[in-house]
Amino acid sequence: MKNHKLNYAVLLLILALSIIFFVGQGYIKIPFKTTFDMILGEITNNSLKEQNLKFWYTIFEVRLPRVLISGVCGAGLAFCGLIFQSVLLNPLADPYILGVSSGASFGSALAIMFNLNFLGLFTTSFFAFLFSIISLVLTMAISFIDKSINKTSLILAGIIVNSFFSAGLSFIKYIAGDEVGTIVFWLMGSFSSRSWNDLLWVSLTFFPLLVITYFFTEKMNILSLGDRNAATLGINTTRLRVVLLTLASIISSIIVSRSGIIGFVGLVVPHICRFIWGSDNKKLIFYSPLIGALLMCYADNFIRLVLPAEIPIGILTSLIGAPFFAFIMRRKMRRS
Amino acid sequence: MVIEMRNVGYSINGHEILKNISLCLQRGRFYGVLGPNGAGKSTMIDILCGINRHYSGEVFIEGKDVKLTTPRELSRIISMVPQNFYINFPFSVKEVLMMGRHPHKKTFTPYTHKDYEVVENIYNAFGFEKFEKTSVMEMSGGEKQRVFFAKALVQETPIIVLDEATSNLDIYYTHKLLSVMKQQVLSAKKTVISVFHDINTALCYCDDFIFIKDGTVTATGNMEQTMNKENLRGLYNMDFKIITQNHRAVSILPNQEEAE
Repeated sequence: MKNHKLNYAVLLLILALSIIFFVGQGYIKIPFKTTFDMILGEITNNSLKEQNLKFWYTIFEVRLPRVLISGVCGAGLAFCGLIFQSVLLNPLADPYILGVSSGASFGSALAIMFNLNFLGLFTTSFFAFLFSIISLVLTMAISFIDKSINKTSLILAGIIVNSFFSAGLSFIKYIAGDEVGTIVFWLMGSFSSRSWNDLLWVSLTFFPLLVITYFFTEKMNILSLGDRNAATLGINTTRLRVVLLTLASIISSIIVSRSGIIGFVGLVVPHICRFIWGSDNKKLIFYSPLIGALLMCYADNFIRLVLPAEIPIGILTSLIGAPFFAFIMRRKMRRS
Repeated sequence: MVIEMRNVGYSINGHEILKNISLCLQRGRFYGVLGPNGAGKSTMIDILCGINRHYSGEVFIEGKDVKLTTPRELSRIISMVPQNFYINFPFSVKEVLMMGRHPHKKTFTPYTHKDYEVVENIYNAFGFEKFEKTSVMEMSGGEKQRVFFAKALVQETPIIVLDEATSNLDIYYTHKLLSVMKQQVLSAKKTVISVFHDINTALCYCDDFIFIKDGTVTATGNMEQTMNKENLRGLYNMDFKIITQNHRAVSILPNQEEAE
């Protein structure tokens, strides 16, 4: 357990092998070796498209984007959960605590109800993203008191913004007619029929921000000593909070806008990682996304391959996540 | 002069917490800050440490205006041991001590050999080996406080502020850790500023005293200048009995006879 670089490599390898395996599974079965060769061929610019057109389309147009995006979204949510928990010093924080999810829900419901499509297929996602950013700005503005932001005011402001947009969402559901079904399905989250474009957007946001955040991990650790102590160790706590929360909220906004609301991954994964590898954010910042990706990948493929009918993934993660979280919470409360 | 405060004031919602505080503190001395609850002691500490920057007046630390000094720069000059701790994640003792080296670390570069050496020395000197497998979260209040004393030393600052830092410690560790601090004052010419509630503990270590009440300094100076019945009555609204030995106050007790 001591050699962390080796651990990252092993987890990454497991993830890669799982992805290749899952891509081969489904109605059309593709052998592992063939899948591997075809993906390798595509990467090395030596496409095997002509050899087996049916397999090629199944892999590259249908399955791979979905499997990859579930992985990246899982990684992103786990990463955001870690940031929110460390920055708010609250082990119960999740990526949606600042109102990002209810903002996104409201935005998407608005787009669906009015049948907006000036951006084509991306209109709903665009509105979801727009409103999640609006909710983030609102939360920050409400919690900004006396030129500083503290964790309690942030959490309370998040609750305020959350309930405001939830009311808006309920109102839309109430007055919407036939669109209610679409809205509800969108809200529960799904990775079915995702394209390379979705993957590109999420990856282009997530990976660069992950690298930037790496340079803040030392300060994130110090923040857990409390504001006063952190300040005497040379940390501008308000600035650090605003920077990190903005980074994380942008990631969670873009994920929510592409996949709907998938609960509990962002909450539970950082806990699992902290339990196994300790509290050092410098390490958790890699472990959390890796475990998040693995978990989401397996959950989504469980839905796709094992269940007789496809259900929204948000239902599955919450169904498994809630009892698991109850277990962690009880264990934690008993100790302290 | 290591610290200079000129007409420092601070108020919240029109309520004055500190008014017109002017003080000069010298290098290589142990200062004891005494005063009743709510006198403004912690506010003064926050201002000295650069945590509270919304004060009026001027504060200079080693000749630098605090308002113009970044938290990072300040953290290399002044360190603090707090009264309460809040640590919600299971960090190990060593990880917390390592955080004390953060002010000296350059961004984008890892900790140096020297950083590890400083932490290792203090870790061993404080006897934290037996907490190797324990997280700071699971430690008792007094044990945590020892970790924060160690953290302040790891920080290697010329000024150390103790904000009622011995409040959770038993009598053995209170004197042990304050002796360590006194040693820092005597040998390394550091300046220690400590808030006390126990006058007798303060008498053992302090060279100078600062009495604060209702946001103002009511008395300041060495033991003879400050420790008399009048000053103490003014400070705490009660009568005291001062026991002296060779013209030096060794113990200060409540005077129950006069109270009756």
